[in-house]
Amino acid sequence: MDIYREEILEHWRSPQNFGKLEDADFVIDQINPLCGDQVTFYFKIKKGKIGNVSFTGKGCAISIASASILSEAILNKPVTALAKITGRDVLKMIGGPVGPARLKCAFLSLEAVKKLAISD
Amino acid sequence: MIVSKLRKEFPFLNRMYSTSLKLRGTSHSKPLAYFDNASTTQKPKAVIDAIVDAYTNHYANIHRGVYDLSVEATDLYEGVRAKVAKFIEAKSAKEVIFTKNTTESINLVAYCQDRNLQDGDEILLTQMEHHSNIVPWQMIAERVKTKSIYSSSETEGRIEKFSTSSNNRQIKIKYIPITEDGRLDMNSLDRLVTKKTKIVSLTLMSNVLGTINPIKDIVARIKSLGSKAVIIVDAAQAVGHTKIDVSDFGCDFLAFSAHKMYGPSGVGVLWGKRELLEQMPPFMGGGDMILSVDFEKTTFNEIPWKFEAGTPSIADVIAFGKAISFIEKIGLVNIRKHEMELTSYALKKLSEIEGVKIYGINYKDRPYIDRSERLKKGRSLFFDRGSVIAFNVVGIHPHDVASILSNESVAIRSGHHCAQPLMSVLGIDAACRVSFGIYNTFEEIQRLIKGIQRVKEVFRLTTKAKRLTPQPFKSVSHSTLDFSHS
Repeated sequence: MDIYREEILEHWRSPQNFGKLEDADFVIDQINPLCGDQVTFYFKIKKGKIGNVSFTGKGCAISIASASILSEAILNKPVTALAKITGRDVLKMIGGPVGPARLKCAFLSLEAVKKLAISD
Repeated sequence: MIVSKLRKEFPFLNRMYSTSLKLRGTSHSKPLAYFDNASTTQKPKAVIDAIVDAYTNHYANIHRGVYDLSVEATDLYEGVRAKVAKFIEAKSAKEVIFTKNTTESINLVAYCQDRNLQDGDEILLTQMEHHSNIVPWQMIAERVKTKSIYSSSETEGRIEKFSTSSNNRQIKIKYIPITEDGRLDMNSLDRLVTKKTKIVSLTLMSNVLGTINPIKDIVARIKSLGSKAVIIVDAAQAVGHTKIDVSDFGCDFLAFSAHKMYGPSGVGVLWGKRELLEQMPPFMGGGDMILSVDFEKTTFNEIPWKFEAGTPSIADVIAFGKAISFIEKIGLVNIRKHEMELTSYALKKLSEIEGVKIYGINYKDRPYIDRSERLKKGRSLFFDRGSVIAFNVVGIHPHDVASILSNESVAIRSGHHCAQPLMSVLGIDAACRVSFGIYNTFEEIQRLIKGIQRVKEVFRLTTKAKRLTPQPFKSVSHSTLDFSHS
């Protein structure tokens, strides 16, 4: 499948859940040392579930699109379920593969989301 | 210099690359257009063969064995040291130390400057340094904060116990700013160089902007200000592209790597003035760096071996000699001419693409002049620039540009280029970078230009360009420093 297909580019142009969440319970930063790209995830927890989620940051099409897609996927999911999301799942969501050099871009948000599962 | 003939000497060009990403309508098999020469260069057959030959016919450990093969390996290894000395116009081969790479060379100097730093002293770097010329100095400044100074009798070649009086030394690191077109702000030197400046370490050529700094003038200016600072030059980017002449530069140390000049990876050079090297304590302890060892003390070997503890990368050093011969055979003047013709062509073509922003010295005030015209005007036209170009396709992240170009078998670098402080000065997080070597061609640059057009097509930048509003960079909550950036 084409990684730079229209669906991905649309997420890059108009990412879902983009912006700050003022009443967030958790704010998690994640940085990609390869390029200095960074995402910040905001989580609002309701009864052990992701009541609301958003992110800010800057990055390539792959990292922004995967943040956007992942944020949609985890909404209303139990926090405990986040630990079970694998890199393979993310690649499936974004329609990878992206090639080994770009895995860090694709997984940047997943790493942030997994931190929530650990910190919670 | 006939490039087509030269290309036959590079086996990497025999490999064909096909598309890896499945992008709309791309399918081909081409040799790689390799534009990441600032990172590392590809190797000519002569160098590859020399490694095989060294292991096959001349391999034994050096400086130790009395048997003929060991003597032979030692002669070959030391022969390259002499060759390097001549290549960079050093006074003596004893001033040439083999390390692992430029990074180790700089670390070696930094580590050994420890005891020359007093409380309140300053280290002067520039805003355009590679991380390898920033982090070692930050580490040394951090380390001397709490650590005591070596006792002085150690200069006589004996390790004494560390002085127990721990004095708190605060070291300040300052940076020479860059101008808008990516040159060092020379006027700032008068302000930045003070009596407290003990170390000045700067690059000869920027690995991002391609700026070639006027080292000779800078050294002269520092000295005219009455400073006795030790001056270290990072020549990693310049070596193999332009002449390195340590006696002309007037610096105290100079560092570079073999792998950026068509030689093997795993070999770096630190050149230093003999008297300074002799005063310096060893960097690492071990075999080969000693004259004698007993249970209590060690008498160190003479320079350069004092700094070469343990078995070095023998075969790679021997093959490095072939890389120097290879460069000398072509001639640095010819190399520079070819690379700057490519650079000037690429700058022109890149500038013509709408939405491409070039960083550093560009052609706004210096229009592209074709070869015959330029030859009339002389080579000095490009004295301030090397064959590295940093740019961005506005609105598209450099990683996406590089991925799509990779699919066209065009290899460019994307990211912060191990120069995050410079990136912040430029107001960007990352950039694309192309850097040329002797095997690159105009046809390859045309492929690059077509590839960038393709990037814009994929991202539909020609029709609608809706972009994310850039977010101001916020501090991240990482408790540990990550030194793994490359």
